[in-house]
Amino acid sequence: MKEVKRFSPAQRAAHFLVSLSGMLLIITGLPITFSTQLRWVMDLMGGSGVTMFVHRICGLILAFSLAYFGTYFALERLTKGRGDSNITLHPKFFLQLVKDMIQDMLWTFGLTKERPKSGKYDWVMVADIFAVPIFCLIEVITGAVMWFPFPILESNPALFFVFRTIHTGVAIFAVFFVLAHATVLHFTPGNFPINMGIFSGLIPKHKAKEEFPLWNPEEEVETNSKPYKFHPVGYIAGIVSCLIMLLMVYVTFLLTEEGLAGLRLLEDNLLVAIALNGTIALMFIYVLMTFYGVVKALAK
Amino acid sequence: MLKAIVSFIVAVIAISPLIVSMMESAQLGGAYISENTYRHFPSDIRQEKYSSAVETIAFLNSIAKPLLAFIAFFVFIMTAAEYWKFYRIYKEEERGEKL
Repeated sequence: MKEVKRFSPAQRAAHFLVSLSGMLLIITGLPITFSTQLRWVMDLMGGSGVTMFVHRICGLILAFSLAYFGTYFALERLTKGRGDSNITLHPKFFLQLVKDMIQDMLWTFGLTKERPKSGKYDWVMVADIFAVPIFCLIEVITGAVMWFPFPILESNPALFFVFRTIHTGVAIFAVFFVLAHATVLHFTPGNFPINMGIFSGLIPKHKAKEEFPLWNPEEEVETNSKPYKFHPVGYIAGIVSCLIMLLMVYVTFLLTEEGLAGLRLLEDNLLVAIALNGTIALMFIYVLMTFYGVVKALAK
Repeated sequence: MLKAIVSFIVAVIAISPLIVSMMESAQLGGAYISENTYRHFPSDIRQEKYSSAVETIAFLNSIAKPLLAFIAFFVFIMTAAEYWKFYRIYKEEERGEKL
């Protein structure tokens, strides 16, 4: 089968490190905010001391990845230029993305006949590419301040709780980001059970032409990959994933203020338990999928 | 190669404050909780600082709560729509292959 090169080794490594550390941060971080429902995660990992130590080490890996790949990609852009990427910082580019988003949604619901013609990265991917570093930076900064509050908070120790509230709020949003990203890119028809593009760096040529018509790939290779066939179990995976997301939306509606503790979940019921435990289960599945993808790509 | 080396140096410099602090005062340094207990603040000033933090957090919460709920709902709707979109794309690809 003819495949085209979509992601460089550096991009794949960045995705691997950021996604793995990010998901482990969610797995070890959620039990702090939702300790009633997720106490078992801490017990499973050997207690709160171990869990928090893992959380901080993952934070360190995330901070390193952010600095390393941020510098690497900036230098690459400066020395090599844009390459086959369509991303620019021009306002017209962002305006076009908004137009693409509207047209894409209209096409999805059958209100227009043509899909927007996108370059290498469509509007969803550009949103992902810009959102991830911003969220990571907020989490790394607020996390570092909470980890080592001195000397930054020396003059006002109460600011610790402000940083914690910001850290928690952005983390909950990150949970939705990961759930949405993984559901759309791995559990959808055309991708289920795993989208190998980000692990092997290659996608089928016909898929590239269909989904990114304005993209001119720089490299084409002949591989022994078999033609893709969607398995209907993917619908079940997609529905389960969407249902857990919907229940997590319900959890955000239940969050209430509790003074210095910030937003807390004071209500506990079966739906909340399913939402939070389901989210942790999905994160474990994504972690396993990440390792599976990397091993399969390396074996190839 | 040069890019990788420069990036590595930048990343090490960026996380070095964390590693140094970890060695000095966190678990690896043997003193997880700092000795600074803020007792150097007179109680009235400490109370004032904490009261202002409570106000700031109340303000943050008043923004964060509706914002989180709205964003969460929006992301859910977009995910469901994207799932449907991929279904349509896959069906079109299948039709194209059959033709």
